[in-house]
Amino acid sequence: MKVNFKTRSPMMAGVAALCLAVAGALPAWAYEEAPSLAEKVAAGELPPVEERMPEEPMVMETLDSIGVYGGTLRRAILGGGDQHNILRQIGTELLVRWSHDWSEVKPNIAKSWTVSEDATTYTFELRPGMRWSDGEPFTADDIMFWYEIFLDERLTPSKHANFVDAGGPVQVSKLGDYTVEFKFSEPNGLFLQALAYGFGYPPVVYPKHYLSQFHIDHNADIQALIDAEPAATDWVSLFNLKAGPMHTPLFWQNPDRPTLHPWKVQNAYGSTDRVIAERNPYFWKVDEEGNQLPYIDGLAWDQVEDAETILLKAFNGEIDYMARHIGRPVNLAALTDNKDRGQYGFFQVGDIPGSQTALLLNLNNPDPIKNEIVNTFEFRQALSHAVDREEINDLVYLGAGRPVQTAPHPNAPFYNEEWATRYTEFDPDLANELLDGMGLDQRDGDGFRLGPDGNRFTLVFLVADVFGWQYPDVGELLQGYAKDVGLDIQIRASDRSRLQEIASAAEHDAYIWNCPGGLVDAYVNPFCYLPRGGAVYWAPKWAAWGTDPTTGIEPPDHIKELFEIYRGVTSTSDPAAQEAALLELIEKANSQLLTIGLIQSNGAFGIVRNNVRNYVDPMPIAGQLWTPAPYTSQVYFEGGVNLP
Amino acid sequence: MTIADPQTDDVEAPQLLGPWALMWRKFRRHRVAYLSLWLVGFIYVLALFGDFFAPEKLDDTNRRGIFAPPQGIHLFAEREDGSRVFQLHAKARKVQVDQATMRRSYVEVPGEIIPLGFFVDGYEYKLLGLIPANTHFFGPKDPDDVVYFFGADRLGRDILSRIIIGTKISMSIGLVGVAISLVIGVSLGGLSGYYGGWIDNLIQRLIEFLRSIPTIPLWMGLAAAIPLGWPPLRTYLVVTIIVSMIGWTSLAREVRGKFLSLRNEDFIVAARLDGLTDWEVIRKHMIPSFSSHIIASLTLAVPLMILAETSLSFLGIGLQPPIVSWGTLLKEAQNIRTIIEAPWLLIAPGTMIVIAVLALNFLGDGLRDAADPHAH
Repeated sequence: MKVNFKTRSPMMAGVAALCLAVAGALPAWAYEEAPSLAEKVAAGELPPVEERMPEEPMVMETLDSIGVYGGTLRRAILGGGDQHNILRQIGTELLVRWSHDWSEVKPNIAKSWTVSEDATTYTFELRPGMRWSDGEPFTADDIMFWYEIFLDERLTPSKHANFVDAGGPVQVSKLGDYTVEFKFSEPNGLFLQALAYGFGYPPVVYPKHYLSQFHIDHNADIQALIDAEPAATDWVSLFNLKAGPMHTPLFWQNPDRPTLHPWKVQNAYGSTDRVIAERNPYFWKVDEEGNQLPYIDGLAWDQVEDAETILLKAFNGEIDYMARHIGRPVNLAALTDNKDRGQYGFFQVGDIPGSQTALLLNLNNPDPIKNEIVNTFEFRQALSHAVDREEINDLVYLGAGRPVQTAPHPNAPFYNEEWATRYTEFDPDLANELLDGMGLDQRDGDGFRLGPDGNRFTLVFLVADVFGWQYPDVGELLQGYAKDVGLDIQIRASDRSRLQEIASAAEHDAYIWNCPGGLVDAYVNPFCYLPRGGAVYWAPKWAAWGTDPTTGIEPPDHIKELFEIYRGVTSTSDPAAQEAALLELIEKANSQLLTIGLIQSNGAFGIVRNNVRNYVDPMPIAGQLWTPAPYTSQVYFEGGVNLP
Repeated sequence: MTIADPQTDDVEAPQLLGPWALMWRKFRRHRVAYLSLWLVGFIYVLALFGDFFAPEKLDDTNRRGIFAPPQGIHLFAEREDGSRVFQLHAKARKVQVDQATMRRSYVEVPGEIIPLGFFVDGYEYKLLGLIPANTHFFGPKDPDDVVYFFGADRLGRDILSRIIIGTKISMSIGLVGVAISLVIGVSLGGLSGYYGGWIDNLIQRLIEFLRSIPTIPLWMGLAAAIPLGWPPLRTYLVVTIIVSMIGWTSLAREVRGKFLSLRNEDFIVAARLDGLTDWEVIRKHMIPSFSSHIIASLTLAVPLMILAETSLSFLGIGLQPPIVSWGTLLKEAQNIRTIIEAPWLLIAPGTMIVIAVLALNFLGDGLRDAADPHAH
């Protein structure tokens, strides 16, 4: 399945510096609301819709057509750890958002913003009259309350990189009831983009009026609340319980917490067989005709054992709109067969990583002999040439991917064919020659190469069966290719959490995983071009050094140079300079073959029932781009009810 | 058998048969059990000479064989002039790919056949790990042809060959665990029941201690303790041994109970008064009198062991691909895609396990009937 959308280079802060983003001074119109809410207004349980909406509601651009109210959107969720299933569907309402084609940053909760010339100061205008889901006003004080929590070492011991720079945490100040300023100590040209990605959420999920009761500085009688909560031992644990981060299950296990989301969960995720979300009567978005969003009354997630069950539910028409867990090439045939029975169709998902399947050798290997070998460029080059990418693509991915190196996708504005094809040719002879040339020319009785210590040189690859991308199968094929050039590669399957535990401690030889950075997310997630952040473990010790030079291992000069180049991306607000620095980074990383990419996907797909309208198609998605939210509030059912 | 026919007239005094000969005679009369003995024997021949029986190499993938359905064996081929001649063969097929769904379908090529034969040339292997050979029991005459008698899996690998090779592990390592449990269980249970007193007390408390160890944390500890560099098979063997080291407790309890009740039976007391040592009493009189029970519990343990092969894979210490066993084959088939698109992946290894387990059960049944001195 091909994804046709192109992503353009995002509009950068430099352009935004002159301020922009007029959310639209709306003509005075009469707001419409859902019939269920109108009933409540008539009964006196709710204030009228005009009083519930901000003075300037956010107007969603119509994707297909103006919708009708009604229906419940049904999905399925796995038990434990599947909170992104809810989060990406209803949770991603941030200060600013990416446009639905992932090309520019647009206003969302903030109705407008200004950026200082030097890209150090960002000022956001909020929407006067906007309310939390319980009807309390949302103001600059709520963001200041988050900032208080963020600075508090007791509550936030480790701070997210989005809000920290070389000079420490960002300075946030309240300039008015609806104006907030973020000030960095050095230019931060990527801040607006970072706020539009998933981890920009913290400033807008801390309702002060609700959470302050769990904070000892705001509530002197907190002991009574601690005693009433069996899971809490002190106020810090109580606060963490009630104010869990949104990307963890905790957030979705506290249905009392007010939100700014279109729907609100009514019961705790994990506690029942079915998670229910109902419409937020105070939601602050309208369509182009002034109908208050969302159109759909609520969502329901049935909790199931495994992804296979979700597939069965899809066949039976019990899934209305979903890509997660099921939209993989291997399921396409079965899903196509049952299309008529389940009354659904497909939409495209632009799930395009830098590499869908990459060999990530641990360049901080604890074994000095292995460490020296994997840090030799010729070794990585030989391994790259030893792998038959075409065959992996045909066998494992049914020909649905493209055999390329870790590099941007052709849809990216900075695609470069040289990067994509570098060292990807299947050439075992060259691989043998390179390995012989670097001194691994002695072999044992079974034909395997010996290391410098005279023992067989073995690399153990960890694989986990995740994302439906069949890494264990790739591992088996890899083992065969490596054997053909005399390398002993062992494959150890593991579950995801154990793999991550081993890999994050840098105790592994290598593993197979995916790499972000296929499209414009390369700006903020260059994890496979640079050892940065805690999500990709091909050089965990260098990554630790990169964050805090007193920890980890000091990298060699050619890696330090990468850090220096990336500083050129973050510390300027000039889009051309940012792109130039990013291109230099990718060129350096790609030519050093720090990660060995095998296959790049052309995207995945999702299923949507035949009467669902206004969904984003093709839908971009990435590790940090938590779609389809914020575009789900305008999804509706033709006729206002689910298909039978 | 050297038993005189009792029908003839000039009989000598009937030969006295030992207990083992009696058992054997009884056993042979149990037809299903007798047949099962042959089946089990055959399965072990498969396990021993796996490469000889497997038509294809274990890990040979094939881009033109993804989810290829099973192929039939045909007896008569048609010559060009229309006459029919006896020639074992399979129909040649070609693959068609539906681009929209990525589905492969296989259609027969009219007129093209793949001749099959016995003792054909194929991939090279070492018979019993020693003798280099390339002869295979049955398969396509041209080594370049591929025929999938039981179908192919998602990477185009031959299921029949994988089942045959998988026999070796499923019918060996799993049984090691069963055997260890048996030996420890019978000896410690026996000691405990026979001697009683402080020995009994000590062993029973040990059993209680072992049973109180929670298993999941134990396995997680094992998973952390076993070096990543170990080959998966060794890991599995070690884990099997460790699990059976703590898995003998229920058998030991049963054996102890038996010993307690037998200890004061007249024939045991008589044997003891006749001056037999403790060991002789146990071996000659006590164990035979409850062997039926042991055999039954043993045969029931085998299928559990095969199904449990993969159960610890999530911790990285169970059997898992690329190791091929019946358990991993079954595990790979447990998804909707397989059931819809390639049901043979589930049916073929499933049938093999059912056959093996039934054969072992009937065999055990027959042995028990034959061994039970009370049965008539």
